[in-house]
Amino acid sequence: MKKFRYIVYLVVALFATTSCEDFLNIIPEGQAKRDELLATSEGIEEAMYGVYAQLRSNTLYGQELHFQTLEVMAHNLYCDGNTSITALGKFEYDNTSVKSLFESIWTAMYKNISNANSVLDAPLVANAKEFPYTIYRGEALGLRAFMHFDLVRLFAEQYTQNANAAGIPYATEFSLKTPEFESLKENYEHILADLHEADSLLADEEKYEGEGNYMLDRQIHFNKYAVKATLARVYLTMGNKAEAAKYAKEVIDGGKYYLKEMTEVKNDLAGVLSKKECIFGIYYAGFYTQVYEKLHKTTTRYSLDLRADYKDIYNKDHLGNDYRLSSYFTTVTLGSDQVDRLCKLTDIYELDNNAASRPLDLILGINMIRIPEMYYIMAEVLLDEDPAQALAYYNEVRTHRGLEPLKTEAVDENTGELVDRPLTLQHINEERYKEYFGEGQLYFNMKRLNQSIVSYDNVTTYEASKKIYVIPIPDIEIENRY
Amino acid sequence: MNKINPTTNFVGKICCTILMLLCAFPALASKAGDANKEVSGIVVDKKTKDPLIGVNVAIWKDGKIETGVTTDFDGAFHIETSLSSFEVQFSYMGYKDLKFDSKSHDLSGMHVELEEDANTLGDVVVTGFVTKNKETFTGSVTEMSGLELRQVSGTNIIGAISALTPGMAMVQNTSQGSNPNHTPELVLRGMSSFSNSGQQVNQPTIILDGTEISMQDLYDLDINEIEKITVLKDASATALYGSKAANGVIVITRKPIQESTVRVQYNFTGNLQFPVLGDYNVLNASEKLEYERLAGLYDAQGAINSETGLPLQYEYDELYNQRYKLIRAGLDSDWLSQPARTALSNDHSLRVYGGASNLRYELTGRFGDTRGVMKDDYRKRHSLGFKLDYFAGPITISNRTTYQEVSVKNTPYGSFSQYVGMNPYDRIYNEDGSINTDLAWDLDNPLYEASLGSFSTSGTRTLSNSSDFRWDISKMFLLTGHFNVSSDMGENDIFTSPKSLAYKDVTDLSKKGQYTKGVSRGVSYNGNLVGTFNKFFKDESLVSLSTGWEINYANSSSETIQAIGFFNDHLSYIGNAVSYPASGKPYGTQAETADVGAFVTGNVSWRNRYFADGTWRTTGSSQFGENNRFGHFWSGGLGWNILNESFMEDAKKHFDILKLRTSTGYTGKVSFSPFQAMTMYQYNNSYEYKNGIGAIPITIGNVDLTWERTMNYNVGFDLSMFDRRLNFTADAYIRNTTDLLLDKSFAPSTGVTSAKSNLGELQNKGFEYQLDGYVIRNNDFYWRLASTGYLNRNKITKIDKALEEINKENQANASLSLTPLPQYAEGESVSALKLVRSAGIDPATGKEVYIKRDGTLTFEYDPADRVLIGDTEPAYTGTFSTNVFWKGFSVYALFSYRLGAWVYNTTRVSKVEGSDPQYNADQRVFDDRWTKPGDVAFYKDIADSSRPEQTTRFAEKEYTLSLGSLNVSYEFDEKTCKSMHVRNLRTGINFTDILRLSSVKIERGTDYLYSQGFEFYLNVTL
Repeated sequence: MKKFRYIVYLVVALFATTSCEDFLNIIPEGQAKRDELLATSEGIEEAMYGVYAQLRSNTLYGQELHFQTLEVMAHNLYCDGNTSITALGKFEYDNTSVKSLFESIWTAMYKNISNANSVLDAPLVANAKEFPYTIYRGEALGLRAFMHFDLVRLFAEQYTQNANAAGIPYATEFSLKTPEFESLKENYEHILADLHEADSLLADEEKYEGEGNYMLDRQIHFNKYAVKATLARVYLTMGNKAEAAKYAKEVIDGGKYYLKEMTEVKNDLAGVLSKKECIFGIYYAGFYTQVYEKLHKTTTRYSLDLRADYKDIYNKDHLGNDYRLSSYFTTVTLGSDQVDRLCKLTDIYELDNNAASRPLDLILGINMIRIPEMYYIMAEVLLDEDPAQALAYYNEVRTHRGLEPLKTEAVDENTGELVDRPLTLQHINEERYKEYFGEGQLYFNMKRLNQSIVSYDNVTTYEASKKIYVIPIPDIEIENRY
Repeated sequence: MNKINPTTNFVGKICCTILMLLCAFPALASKAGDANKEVSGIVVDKKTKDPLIGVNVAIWKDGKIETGVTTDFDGAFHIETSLSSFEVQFSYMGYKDLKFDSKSHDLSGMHVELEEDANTLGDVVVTGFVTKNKETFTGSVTEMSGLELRQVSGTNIIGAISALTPGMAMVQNTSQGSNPNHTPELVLRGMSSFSNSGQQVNQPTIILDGTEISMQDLYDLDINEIEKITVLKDASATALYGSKAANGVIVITRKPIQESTVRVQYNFTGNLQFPVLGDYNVLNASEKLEYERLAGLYDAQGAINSETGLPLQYEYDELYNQRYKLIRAGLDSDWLSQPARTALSNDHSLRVYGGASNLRYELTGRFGDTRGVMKDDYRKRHSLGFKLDYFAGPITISNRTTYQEVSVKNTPYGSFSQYVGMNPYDRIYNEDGSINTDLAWDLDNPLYEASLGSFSTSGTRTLSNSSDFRWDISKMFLLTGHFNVSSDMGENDIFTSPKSLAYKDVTDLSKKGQYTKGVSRGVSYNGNLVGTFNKFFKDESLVSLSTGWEINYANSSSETIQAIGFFNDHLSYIGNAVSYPASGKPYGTQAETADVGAFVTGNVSWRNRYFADGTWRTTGSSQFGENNRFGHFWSGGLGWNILNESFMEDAKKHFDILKLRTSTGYTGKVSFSPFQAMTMYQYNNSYEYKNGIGAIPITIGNVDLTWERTMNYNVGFDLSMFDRRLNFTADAYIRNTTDLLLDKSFAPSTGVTSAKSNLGELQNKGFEYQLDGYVIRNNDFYWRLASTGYLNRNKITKIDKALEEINKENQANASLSLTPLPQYAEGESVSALKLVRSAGIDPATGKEVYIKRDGTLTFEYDPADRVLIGDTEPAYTGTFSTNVFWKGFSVYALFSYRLGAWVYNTTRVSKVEGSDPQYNADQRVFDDRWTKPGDVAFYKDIADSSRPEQTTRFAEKEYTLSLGSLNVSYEFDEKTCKSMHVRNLRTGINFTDILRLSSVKIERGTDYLYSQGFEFYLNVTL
């Protein structure tokens, strides 16, 4: 029965189609398989953009880690009408809403770290030897270190207070394996290792500037100088002054980012990246909406008020005209009162409903690292060994803000004679305060120097201790380890 | 012509046959001898006169088979024998045997007509892919004919299937009641998955004429089209379906077209349903007022009105007196009956068919309008179908096209529970006839919402075409193929009137009113090709082998948009909207799945005494993770036909079937989406980053994710005696499910907080039986009794820490839920009920006393003191039915029972004790509530309206008996039919849900009422 034979062949052939992968390979629209996406440089770029975009979420640098949580903990801002913010200000870390706030920061940061790890685990990036893969790897490593470093600054003890303290998990793999908790020392080792590798990978970055869309606008990427600036920060926090100075100097001497003139201070940070000073920023077109709600609007339940005596430090040693005082703060009408508000971050064009007239070369977003910090690092490090240089760096920023250089001699009130009044750490901290008010760095500085915090209403002084400076690891992390 | 030489070697038989087929040369007879006698002729079906292929024609002498052949596809046979006196026996599956003696008959050129054996018509098992011989099948199946289904209910297919199938249960949904727009859920042989975020993971697979359909499609199917339903229950039967087999398979076959002149069949079913309000016992007006008084609602407790300076008590007293006066004047509003109505539904179906031997056609049409017992809802079903069967020798081709439309309107009267809480001393309507919106305690009048222009409707349209072909290549080889394409479109519209109380706080007119419009569409196709090899041997041994290949593909998408701002109740067209809702955007979903599979199944029986079954199936699915793209499933079974043993020779005349069988097999189920098994990146506009757009992983894919597997063991026993007057089937089974899919929590430093993983193991053990017998059976009269029973025990055999996370979450949410949420533990059932033990109400204080784990008494409620009370699934379920037939009259009654399930009586919890005195409550609120120290009462202080904790006080054991169907019908005899010029006429009445006795008094039909009534039907064939 020949007919039957053909049928057997037909059925067998049909059997063979059971291995047709393509038919079974269904991918919904708007999605891509990871292996396929990360096999091309375009795909890797898109994955990297995803990591950056996630940094600007409200839980992270879009709000909490910028002008809300960190500034409330530094007692620069407060909100009486909001019970969770008030509890946060009192450092009540076992309050339910405070706990859930830190839980979401922890979870969101680690999720983004795993997004970065996803890129780092891709074969093309893991074995990066040449452009553009070296750039991707450098940026991803830098971001991973940066994110872990901020987690360390929040959830672990200050290294100089206790070098044997416990640290956090350092995630380096994109998988469902949970990373182990490490000691703080090991955390720093990892952070530094990642940053150093990033530094060498991004060394020739300038050569490729402009080649392709990814290499445009390097300010919104974790570029070479961002790596160096972060290294300076990390070393300073660790107490390693020499290395901190080395990298801060490299950033300053690099010449790519420099201080702006005093006349440019106004609106330089208003919802945009500072053209001259911003070493690393996050592109965020929707930043205005966030800022306006919290810092500018006049409702009391959500908007953040300035501490009553915020002006005092600006008015101290006030020789010259500090352009920052007039640019960063403004008054708005609340009912029948005039109230002071922080307008440093508010986009002026959006405020006036005039977005169309914004100059095209301004990049909307959040300033993450700016160059004045590098000057302050230099000043602090050189304070003991080369006071003159320290003073020079310190004054550099002051004069660019409209103030007179610091008077190192003053008339002693009692004796009537001229006495030496050298530059002290307190001067530098005060400059930091004036410069970085509202940008989420002051709390970390106080933690680093183990200073006590005076509450916004000058009523309570929170002594420096683990109770205010070390946020407990969220329960969700400890409970789910089995 | 092929001649088969008798050999005793079984394997040799197979080899021989294959060799035979490949060479086209006929084998020569080996018996030389004297003048050969010729036995030849053709065999046809007595009724249709179609030639019968593969009929066994055997020459017997002295009780032994000498030689034999089978008929070819013309029905012809030809044997030559040298014997002088012998018998010729014709035997064929489904037909009565015929024997001819060589002396009394002329054996050449015979025209043999075989008659269908009505009693053994069910001797094939339809599995959807192949037809298996029931006698030698090792699997566990339950079959029911369309007629049996219609006896139980003329309109509720799913209810009828579950009533007639032991092991199948309809999931009790006491909130949805008899809502015609709610599709019921079925579970076979116990739950084998944890309910996973709303997915119906325990639902069996439903196959209609070779194509998979959804439960909703089955719900909308015309019951008159059904010829037979086969439920495949154990692995032997279901392994053919691979990854769809784990929950059982329901195979539905529609009526074939018989060769005849033009016939017209018309069926009419009318259904009159009455709402069941008897489960509700709310207070009347004067009782309610008294309850309010006792609960202290009119006790101002010395408070002063701040504005007038007078004690508030004056106002409360005045309010009380006002109401008292109205009640004395006779005001007692009946809220419960307001949204309810007597519903009349009708269903018409018409079938025109006919044809000759080579071409047959069928036209079907159906119009059904089903109404529910809540006002203003309906479910309309229309369908049109056309089928053509073409016969060309060994090839049969048929093609069927169906168009179906379903339109749905949901009742605007909302949930029934609203009406239960209304106060009877409030007027429903004002004197001028308008709806009273000024009710006591500021309650909302639900009739007001119903009177507005709000509506909720939806509809679907399906067009489907199936082609089937069948090629009888020879008497041993058969090839069948099936291909189906379906396309469906649906839409749904929900309009909320701007006058609705949902907008009472909204002042902006352009934000009142909302319209939600959704559309959906889908395309699917599936096909299969199956080759079968069947060989019957003359000693009644059988070898059957089938192999097949299958492909399925489905694609669906849906979009929804919303618009707000309607100024007028009547301007309910979406074009009249003012705008989209603030920060609203269109919403859509897409789904696409594909799978291919292949199977091999074989059945071998030796002398019809011992037999074995085996199936192996592989499926590749787009839903399986990349590492586990193909799944392999298998089953095997053994059976013993005790009847054909030599020691049963004497007993044989009493028994028809005596069979023992066992099967084991491995089935699986997919319950996860592809991106959970592999990492997928998702793009989104919100990830744009100045010079490009970003993408982030949806989750970290678990590459080790596999489907849930179930290992099935089944032992069964079939018995049939006294010429099928007594039939009994029993099955015992064990089903072990491993690799259950659950959400496992991870520490956030992993990058995700939860991901699906395979954890946990479940076991279901059970026993089913089916017994029916004819007490009396004559030509004109018979009385048949039947009973089915079923018990299933469920146990979690291994628990993972992740399940404890679910327990913790349920514990945290316990206060939010009225019924206790599950607490899973190893060794306990998935549906276990765990409660804190209660020692009753303390007579001194009126507070509840709890019993701790260690036995001590306390006033403090601690969820840790929970102990295992029982199971919410019944211990025993079953039915029994009686059927009496006399000269055309038939009376059928079906009772069902549920014994031993533990119920947490939510009515007593929320309507007796935890009731808010502003709303109406259950009658029992007056009995036995504690009022003063010294009272020994069952319920707490009447003034305490806080919700009671979940304790054993409200747990009751359920024993329910219900009369589901009482069917009286009459089939007119042939003479009367002829005089009316019809071929067949049947009519009858079926009373549904007329009686329900239960030990638990709980409100049923909380969102939608239950109903009872009767169906009357008429079947005419012209």
